[in-house]
Amino acid sequence: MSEEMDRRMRELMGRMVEMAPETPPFPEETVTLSPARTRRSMRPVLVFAGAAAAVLLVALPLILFRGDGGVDPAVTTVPAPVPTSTVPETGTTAVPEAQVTMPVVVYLTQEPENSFRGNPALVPVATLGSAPEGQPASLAALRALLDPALTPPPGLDDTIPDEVAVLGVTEDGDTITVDMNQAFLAGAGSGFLGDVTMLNQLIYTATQGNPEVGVIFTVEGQAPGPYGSEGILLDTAFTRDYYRDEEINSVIVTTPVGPESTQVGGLARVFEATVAYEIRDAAGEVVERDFTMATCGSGCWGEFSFELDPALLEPGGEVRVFWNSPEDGEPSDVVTIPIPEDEDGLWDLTP
Amino acid sequence: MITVTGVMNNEELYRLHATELTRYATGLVGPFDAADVVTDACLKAFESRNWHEVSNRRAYLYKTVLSVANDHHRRSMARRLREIRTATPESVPAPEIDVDVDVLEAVNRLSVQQRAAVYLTYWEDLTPQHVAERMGVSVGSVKRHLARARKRLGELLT
Repeated sequence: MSEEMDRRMRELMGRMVEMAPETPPFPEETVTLSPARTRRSMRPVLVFAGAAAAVLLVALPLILFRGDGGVDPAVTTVPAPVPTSTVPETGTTAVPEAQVTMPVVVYLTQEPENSFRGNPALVPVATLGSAPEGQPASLAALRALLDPALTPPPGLDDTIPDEVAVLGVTEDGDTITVDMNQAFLAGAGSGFLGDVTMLNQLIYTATQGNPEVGVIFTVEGQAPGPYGSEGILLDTAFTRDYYRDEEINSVIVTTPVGPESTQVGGLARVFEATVAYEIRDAAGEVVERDFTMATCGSGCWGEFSFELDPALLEPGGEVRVFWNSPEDGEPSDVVTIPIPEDEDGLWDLTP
Repeated sequence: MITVTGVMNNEELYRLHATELTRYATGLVGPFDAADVVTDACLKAFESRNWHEVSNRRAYLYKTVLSVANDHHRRSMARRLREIRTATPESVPAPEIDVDVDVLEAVNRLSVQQRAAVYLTYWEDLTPQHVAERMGVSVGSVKRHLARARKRLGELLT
C-alpha cells in the first residue's frame, strides 16, 4: 500500500513537472519586487528595538533584584519577563497527577479563496484538550494546537513546526504569560508571514477565553530572544489585533461551527461592512446564502454575528464567510469552515 | 546589470540552475506562475545583502523560490483552475501550456509547503534530511508535511 502510494506520488510529481514552462530569461534588470515588503522599512525600528532589548537584558537583573523586588514602570515600558522562579507554578516542572480533559478551541490556518490582500485566515476548530487539574483551559488548548500528531481537518493547515511546545501558562488579569520551549524562537520556517501566522495561531488560541487580553511570551521561563526569520522582538504583550491590520485576512471568524455552535461571529474589514455567508452540503451544493452587517466597514474593522440553521449543517459540508467585491460581485477573502462529522461538533485532530 | 560576484557570476549560476528551479516552482505554484516565481526569487536572492556571503547558493535559491511561492502566489493555482473550469471555449485563447487539470486539482489540495516536501521527496528523490535542508525546516516538519500530503491525496491516488 505504501509503495503503491509512493509510486503514485512520484507519478503525480512527474506529470506536474511535465507542465513546466520554458525557463525564463536571466533577470538582467533590477526591479522592485512586488508586492513591496513594507516591513523592510521596519528594520531600523527592529534594530533599534533590538539594541534596546539588549540593554534591557543587561539591566534586567539589576532592575528585578534591586531590593524592592519589583519593576518600576517608569524605567521601561517593556513588560517584565516572568522570572524563572515564578514559572514552575504553571506546570513547567512538576506534573500534577490528574489530567482534566475539556473542549477547547484551536486556531488553524487557511489560504482564503480569492484573497484580496493575500493574507492567511485563521479558522477556529473545536476539539478536546487536556491539562493538569487546576491549570487554565488555555494551556489545554495550546497543548492541543501543538500536539505533533495534529492533523488539520480538510482545507485547513497549520504553520507551527512539530518541535514547538508549550511549557506552561499563567493567567494574570489582563495578560497571559505563555512559556514556550526553545524551538519556538525559530518560528514557522517559511518566512515572515509564516512566523506572524504562527504567532497569531498561538495568540488567538491562548486568548480564547478572553479575547481582550495580551499574551506575553517567555522561553523556558526567560525573556525570549529574537523570533523567526526576521528577528521579531517579543518584548510586548501581543493582543489579537497586534498583527491584524497587515497580516491577516479581512474576514476573521472567531467561533467554531458545529451542531452545537450555530452562532457564528467574528471581525471583518470589508466593503460597506457587508459580510456574506453560505452553507454548503457535503456535495458542495449551496443550501443557504445570506448576509449580515458588521458594525463598521470600508476601512475599519467591525464585529459581525449571524445564526445558522442547525438543520442545514450537514457533516462533510461547510460554511463559507466572505464579502463581495464591488468590482465584479465575486466572493472575496472566502473563509471556508468545515462542518465536523461528529454530533458533538468536536474534531478529532489526532486520528 | 546584476553585480557579478564570486567565482561564478549570477548569470552563469542562473543558467546552471534555472531549469531545475523552474521545475521546482512548477511543483509549488503550477505552470502558469512558475517563471514569475523563479524570476522574482532570483532577483530577490541576487539583491540580498547576504548574497555574497552565501556558501551554498543553489540551496539558497531553492529556499528563496519556496519563500516567494509561499508569500506571493499562494492562491494563484486555485484561481487559474477556477478560470479554466468556468471558461467557455470561445472566451479564452488556447493556453500556451499543455495543462493537466486533474493533476493541478490534486496538487491544489496541498499547501505550498506540502508541495515542496512532496516534490523534493518524490521527484528529486532526496532524503528527509536533505529535503529539510533544501526547505530550511526541520526533518520533523518535512515528515509531517509528507504525512499530511499523503493523507490529503490518499483518496485521489488510491
